[in-house]
Amino acid sequence: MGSLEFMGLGVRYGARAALEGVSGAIRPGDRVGLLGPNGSGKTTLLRALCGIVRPERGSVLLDGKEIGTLPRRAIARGIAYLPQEERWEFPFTVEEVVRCGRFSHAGPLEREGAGDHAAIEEALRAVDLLAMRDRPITELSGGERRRAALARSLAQEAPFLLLDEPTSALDLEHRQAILRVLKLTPGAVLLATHDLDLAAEQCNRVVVLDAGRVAAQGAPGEVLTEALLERVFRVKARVHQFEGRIHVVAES
Amino acid sequence: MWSRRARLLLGSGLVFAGALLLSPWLGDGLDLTYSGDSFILWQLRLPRVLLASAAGAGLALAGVAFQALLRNPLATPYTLGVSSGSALAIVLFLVAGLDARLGGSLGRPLVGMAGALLVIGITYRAARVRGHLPAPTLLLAGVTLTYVFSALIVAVQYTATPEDAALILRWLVGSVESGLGYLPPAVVGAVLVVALAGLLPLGRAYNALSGGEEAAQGVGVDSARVARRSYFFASILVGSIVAFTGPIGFVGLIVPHCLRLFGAVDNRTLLPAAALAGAGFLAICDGLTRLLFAGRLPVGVVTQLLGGPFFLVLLLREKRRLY
Repeated sequence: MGSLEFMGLGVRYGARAALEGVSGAIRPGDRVGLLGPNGSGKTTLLRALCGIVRPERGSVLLDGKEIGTLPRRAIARGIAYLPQEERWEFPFTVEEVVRCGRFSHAGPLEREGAGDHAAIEEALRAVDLLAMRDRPITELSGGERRRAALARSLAQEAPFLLLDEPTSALDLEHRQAILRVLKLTPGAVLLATHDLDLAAEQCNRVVVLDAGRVAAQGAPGEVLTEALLERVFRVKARVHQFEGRIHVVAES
Repeated sequence: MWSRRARLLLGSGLVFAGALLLSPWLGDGLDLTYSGDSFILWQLRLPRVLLASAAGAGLALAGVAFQALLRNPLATPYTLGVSSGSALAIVLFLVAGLDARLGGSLGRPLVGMAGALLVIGITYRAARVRGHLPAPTLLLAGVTLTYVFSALIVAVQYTATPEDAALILRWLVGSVESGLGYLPPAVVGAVLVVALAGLLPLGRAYNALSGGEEAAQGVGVDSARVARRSYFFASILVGSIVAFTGPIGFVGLIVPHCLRLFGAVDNRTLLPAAALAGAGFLAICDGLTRLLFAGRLPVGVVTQLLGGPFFLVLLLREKRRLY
């Protein structure tokens, strides 16, 4: 199923170090939660892992190959990246947006095949947008647009999914639906989120970033402690564990 | 039941075919049994209609490319300074009297293309950060260059001899009356074919780019490469058109927008449809200059006089639909 490894990643934005010495690996079947306060380097790490940001130090290996040497199409067949936000200026239909996820699977002159159609249908169904497939993306609500973008990443059928805040702007019903999708998807998922409960519930592993460095990583129940929350997130919080789930309540 | 793509392409094709057949007959009636009228049709009107078609197709195509790359429906070859840059190059070329000396009419499109490429090169370099091309910075750099070039053109015109100044003015308003016969449509047509081959395969990449550069990269689009390729082909296209017609505005803005209102949002359809409809639009405008203004106004003025109100009506209708 492939592998995604990263060693000693260092990224600077001007004088500010966005990532320093970050290492790790994502294996098939993994559900990894990427946590940390604003500006801790979560988005930068996702961008570096899919080759959009070139790290100054360290390397990212997709199936053993240095990611900087691979063409974008080849990367996209291995890694689907959902950015945190996007803005559509033109009234593309939902289906046309999801179809963009198939970009890496065909050459510019190739016609769509049965595989493309099936992937688009399945992705639309997974995010519950089949009925809205012909609606212009510019007329949808924030949560609906978010689901369309996630469907595009699912339609990519890549073995690794890097998702930046996929549940932002989603209502409760669709948040639950997306969680089911993430549970069932065959690809490994690296999920950047501020939702600690979600990470604890969905992920077999969490990585906590603080100021560009890995502050802690491991099983959610071991990592998400009251001491860590105070040290990294600078909040006093209580961590409740019940029925194998973790619930974080910040103190006012 | 025809697919939306087939209907849009057929419709645009019919607009073009209709314009091509109709436009040469607009204006003073022709009696082809007279050799004089026959000359007017074959040596004056047909080359004009062909140049208008090739230029209209090219400007609309370049408009779609710029709009997709900048994710802005208002972007045109003007927005990034490409038009004004090649216009300045041509004005200097004309004033220096090189038009007649350097291979005559073939030197002009080369100078126009060189000017356009130089400008887009400067804009690109100015806006690029860490391998990315942020659209707002590109727009700012392009608009700034447009002002600088426009000022330089005025400076040249102001200090030129009265004959040169009149020549520049006539050329700057945009006209398809080149007086050079079939050469301009042949040159622009050839560049158009090259540009179509370069730009038509980018429809899928343009679609993905509409959600933003990162979203496009995430699905496998090499956005920097798509940008370089688009700017190259759009620039040689605009440069060769401007060389013969002067800067004709508006085509690159309204043709793609009208087609989007008819449902051609997908760039795989919009690129070829805009080329066809743009060709038809400018050919008809040229015919109308003869019909309505006895050929005394250049097509650049008529395009905006007729196109402007038409576009406003469309916008108002769209507004009523949305609100």
